[in-house]
Amino acid sequence: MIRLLTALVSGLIFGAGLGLAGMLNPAKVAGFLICLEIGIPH
Amino acid sequence: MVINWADFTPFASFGGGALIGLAALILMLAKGRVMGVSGILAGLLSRPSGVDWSWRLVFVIGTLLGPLLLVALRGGTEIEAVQIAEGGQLWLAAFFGRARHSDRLWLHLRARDLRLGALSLRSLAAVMTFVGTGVATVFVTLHLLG
Repeated sequence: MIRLLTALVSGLIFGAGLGLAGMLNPAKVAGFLICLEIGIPH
Repeated sequence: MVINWADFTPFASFGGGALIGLAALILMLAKGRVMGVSGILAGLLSRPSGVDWSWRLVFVIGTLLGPLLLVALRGGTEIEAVQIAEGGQLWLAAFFGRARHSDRLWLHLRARDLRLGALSLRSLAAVMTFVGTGVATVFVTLHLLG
């Protein structure tokens, strides 16, 4: 149970970090993926 | 060089990076492994049973809920929530693409190089080399060739 709770907290913080950094803005994400030469997934 | 000041948000970016680092550190301390989202998704897709599968699922659920929690705490608008969902879709598609093609080198810095949380000197050297090469490339491109 503690393992699952830890994974949940880690995921929550990770997602919040992405949001705070603006890395959930579609334009920024697309630019980042293009910058890494991954391309925008379809 | 033109800087897009409207999208230049160093403090928010620093805070977000710090939170991502904290999440990675928590996972490393709890499970002794580096937080690689594409690897976590790959495990979720390939092993649909057992304890190893459940924590991966919970992590992904947390990752999806985290941004929405942030919007709720900040009092964000519905438009912001929709934008976040669209951005999340892009990330998920990219990570799933990576998870399905795990032989492709997705990022130049591989997961095993990112063990700064474990105070690995090898990781520090790898990161410094990566960042230094990037700085040198930008300098040469903008000031020597441009």
